[in-house]
Amino acid sequence: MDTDRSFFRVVLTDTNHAMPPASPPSTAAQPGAETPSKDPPHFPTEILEEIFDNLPPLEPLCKVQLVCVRWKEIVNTSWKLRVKLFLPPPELCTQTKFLLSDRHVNPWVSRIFGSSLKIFKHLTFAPYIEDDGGLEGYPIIFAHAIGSSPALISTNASLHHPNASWRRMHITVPPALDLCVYDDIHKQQDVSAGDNDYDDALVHDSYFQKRAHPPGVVRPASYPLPPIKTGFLMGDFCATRIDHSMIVKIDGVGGTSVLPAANGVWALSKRQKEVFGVNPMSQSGPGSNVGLDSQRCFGWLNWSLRDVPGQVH
Amino acid sequence: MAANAQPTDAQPKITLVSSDNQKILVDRDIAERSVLLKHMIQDFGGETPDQDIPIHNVNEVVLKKVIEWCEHHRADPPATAEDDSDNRKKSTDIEEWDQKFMQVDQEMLFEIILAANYLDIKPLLDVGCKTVANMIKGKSPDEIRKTFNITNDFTPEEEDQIRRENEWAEDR
Repeated sequence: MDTDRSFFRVVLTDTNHAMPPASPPSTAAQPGAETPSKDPPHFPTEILEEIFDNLPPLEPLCKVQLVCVRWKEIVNTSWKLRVKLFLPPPELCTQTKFLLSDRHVNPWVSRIFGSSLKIFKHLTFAPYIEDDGGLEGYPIIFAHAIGSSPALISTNASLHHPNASWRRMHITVPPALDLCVYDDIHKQQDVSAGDNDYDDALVHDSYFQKRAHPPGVVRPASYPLPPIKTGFLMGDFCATRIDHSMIVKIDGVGGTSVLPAANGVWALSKRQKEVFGVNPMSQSGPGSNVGLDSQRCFGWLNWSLRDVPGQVH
Repeated sequence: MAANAQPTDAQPKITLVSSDNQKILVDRDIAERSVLLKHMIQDFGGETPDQDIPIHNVNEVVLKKVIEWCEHHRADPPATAEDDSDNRKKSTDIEEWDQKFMQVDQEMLFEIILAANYLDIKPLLDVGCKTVANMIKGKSPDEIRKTFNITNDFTPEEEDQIRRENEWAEDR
């Protein structure tokens, strides 16, 4: 497999410089800014953010958020904390370059999917326009989970909660474009064989077609893969901004449904509808087919590239 | 900067005036642990200012405490602006002297943090933030509220919703 890390220079979002305007970088010389009282609830936002940043990463999510409304707001609007939690950034920000390494793989989601989650980092040329007008490429990252995860099947109700916050998390930072979960390991084979074909396959729009008929795999008739053209998806996110993180669940039996990524946002654009060939909204309303309760779910797609420049075609 | 290479006893002194109008004499290099003061001194053309520098937001007790910290850390290499941001905040480890230094009552601790923020003494701010983080770490939301005397202003429904959404993360 192609694992040359040096390739994974990604231009997606600005982790360092695009702090939300509400909390500018700490400029100490602001005597008149606000006169904070002496207790931490009234500490300036940037100090509380710094304090929370020193906690184990999940504590802001499951503890700090619950303390009071203000603390919750800080967790939810902090660029730093959200990136650490693999949550989509609080607002649209400009692109930056950052290195992708293993520490950018979401440890919690990885654990949820257990050993069945495989992250493939793969360099594919997908053009974007740099600040200086030059043309560059960025890698496409695939995360595949093959087989059922014991953790997924687990009866842990909190994990199965339809709005559990892990569902809003990215698999990788930068976000994985594609996460597929197959639960029928006996009939499905790891289709990641032939990694070297990824580039061409993507470019030629045929990755999923290939996957639909990987050599030596007999697909049960009841599990037809929906006609997805990944290349088209790539084209889509290159051409238009996708504004919401979303998790698309491909239901093998009933068609396609979309899991709301956040607060019930159904974020399937017209073009994506074309991609999937169905209008998921008409097939299933919010709440139906949502969640992991149906172990038949055999495909997840997660992409949330918020900040891909719009001018590229 | 060039004038700094003098023996300690010849250190130029600077007079700071606290918010409660108390004058405190400090060595210039100690005052310059504060980026705010450093910039103010630079505005004097690099000369050691002979006039008093008012510190409006910090009272005498807190200012003395901050100066105590600066004195102990006077030999620390100056922090670079951006490059250390990654290495710095990864742990809540605090060196022993700083831990002892931070063993003060809550109000004093918060005053020190606010003063460090105002005076722009990043390493001291970090120590303060880590100390507070250690007070939060491992506590339940309710215990955190009690520790800092925070009122729970969620409706029970809101609280329940956040709890359910994040319950999965609790034992991880």
